Amino acid sequence: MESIENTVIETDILTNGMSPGFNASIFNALPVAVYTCNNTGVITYYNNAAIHLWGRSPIIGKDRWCGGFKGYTEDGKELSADFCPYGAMLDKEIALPMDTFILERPNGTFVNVQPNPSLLYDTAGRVTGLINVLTDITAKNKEHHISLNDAVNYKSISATLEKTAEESTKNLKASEERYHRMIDEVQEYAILMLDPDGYILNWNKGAQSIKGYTEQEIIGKNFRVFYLDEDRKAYLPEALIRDASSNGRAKHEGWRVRKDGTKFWGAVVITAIYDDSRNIIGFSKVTRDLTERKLADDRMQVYARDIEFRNKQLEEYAYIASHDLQEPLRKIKVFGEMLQDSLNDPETIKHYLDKINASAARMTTLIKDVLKYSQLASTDELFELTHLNVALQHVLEDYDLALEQKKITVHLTDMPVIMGIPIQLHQLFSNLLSNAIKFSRENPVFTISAQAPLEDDIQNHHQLQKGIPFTKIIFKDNGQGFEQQYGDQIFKMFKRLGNTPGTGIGLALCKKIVENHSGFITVDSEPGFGTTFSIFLPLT
Amino acid sequence: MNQRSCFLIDDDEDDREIFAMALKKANADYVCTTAKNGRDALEIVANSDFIPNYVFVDLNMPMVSGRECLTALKKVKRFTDVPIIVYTTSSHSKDIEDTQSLGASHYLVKPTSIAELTRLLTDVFTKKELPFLLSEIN
Repeated sequence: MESIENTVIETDILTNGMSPGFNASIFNALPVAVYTCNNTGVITYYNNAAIHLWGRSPIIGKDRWCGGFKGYTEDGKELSADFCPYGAMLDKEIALPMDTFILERPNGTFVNVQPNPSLLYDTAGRVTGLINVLTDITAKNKEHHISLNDAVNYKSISATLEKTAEESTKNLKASEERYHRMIDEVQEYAILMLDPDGYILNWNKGAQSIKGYTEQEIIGKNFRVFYLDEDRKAYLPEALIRDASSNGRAKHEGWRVRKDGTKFWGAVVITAIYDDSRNIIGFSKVTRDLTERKLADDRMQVYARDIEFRNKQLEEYAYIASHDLQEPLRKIKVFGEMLQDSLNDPETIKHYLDKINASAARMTTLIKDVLKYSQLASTDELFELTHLNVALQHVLEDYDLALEQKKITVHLTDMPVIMGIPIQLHQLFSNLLSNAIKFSRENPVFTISAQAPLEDDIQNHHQLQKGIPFTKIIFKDNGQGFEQQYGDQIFKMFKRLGNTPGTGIGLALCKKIVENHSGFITVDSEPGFGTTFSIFLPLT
Repeated sequence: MNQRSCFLIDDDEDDREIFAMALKKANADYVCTTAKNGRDALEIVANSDFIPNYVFVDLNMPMVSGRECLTALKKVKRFTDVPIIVYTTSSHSKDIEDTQSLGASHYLVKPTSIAELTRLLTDVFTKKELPFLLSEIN
């Protein structure tokens, strides 16, 4: 079949006056489709590659222009068989650029084709027709489409990537924002960042509510501002930073200062923050306000001390029961025994009976006094506004007979009004007065006055240094007095100086009453000159 | 100079009377010198060359307490060999331990019977080997 066609072509080319030396076999060897038309468009020659491209063999000398079965533009319009851009070339006798087109083969397959027509001239220079080279660009087109697709894909991938990156950044930002907000919103903890020198870099709501500063006020300040004066002077903040630097973290509990100057009990953890090369780039500082807990702890300690004190008192009572209360009982037994041995001597009998009676009486008094002491309570509901003038007047009335008998002069000056337990204050003054009467001498004068504590008093007694107003009640007599070195002993239970009358509980009772009123009592005495009791009581 | 003596330091007048009675019953040969507190006792010791055979000292006394008195007497050279016996109503273990470490020879809790006190004093005067705590503590 090939050979027949070849023959035809050769013949025809020759017929149409192709230039001498034209060799059809050369054209057939080309891998591209080549064909020729005369100046009316009638196909005069085509090569094997053209047959392959078209999928058919046009009739030489009859078929015109394109040689294909059907043609379409790139955007899909069918090309008319009668219209051909090559015609324009022949008319105008110039080369024109040709659009690619889609060729439909008779078997229904499609080929993308790039035409390349050139005009043919005879030796006189007249246009005799054209030669067209058709290039199959289907594969290239596919590539182009692929690469286009790729580009589209790339674009979409890159858009996706961009979007992802954007979202990631957004998420990161949001996460950072959330984290920041989370820290910012924490109310219970002051969470802040310090630079390596302790300067504050950020601030949260907890910090504001615990320490009282706003963010604007505190950023850039050194965290020393939160510490008490004495702690700053002792370089506590610096010590904590040093501790955190060398050990990674530092913990501390102590009093701190708010913006308004009030104190809070802070529990602090300072943690060092490092960069990748393990250099400290700052510190995180978390502070919790544990004032409530601290106060509760302190209250617990007060209770514990109170319980300890009560235990000691119980021990004291046990000692009293085992010692002081047994003493008169022992004497009663011994004197009873001695009485039995001397039943025939009335004088000795009386002597021992007197001893027995005295011991029994002493025992009764002791038991009563111990009970009185143990019953001294100091609960809040017992306290009421007490006019000390009135209380003292009542006590003086109780003792008016004894005062008159001993011709005692009493000077009573204005007394303050305090919050107190009236019945106990009555007992206090009653004990002091009976004590003074007991040890009075000739021309007795008692002076009872009240004044503010003196500078000396404040320096000597820490209780007066807490800023609570106190009154100093002075109870002065010109009686026997005693050596000042026994000043502490006289307030102890059952302590009597020498063979003085009484149970030795009276002044212990006074001390306890004053302490129930959050005050304290002191004594100054000199033998032969008298005794002065000073009672310090808080005014509120 | 065979007269033997006890030195009783006690602020309680009744107890001084009871002790004298028991001492008489235990051994008529002993005389008793008394001081009514620690301060008086130390004054007597300081102002004389008095060396008793036994010292009996109460603990709970005003002015100078029995402990202070015991401590001071242990420092007096001529009292080095004199047994000092604590004579008190206290049966507190702390008092017993403390006075033993301060150098007391014996600890006698004031008994509730004169016969018992007489017997204990007789033991002190006659027996060589006696425990530190002379009284039975319940």
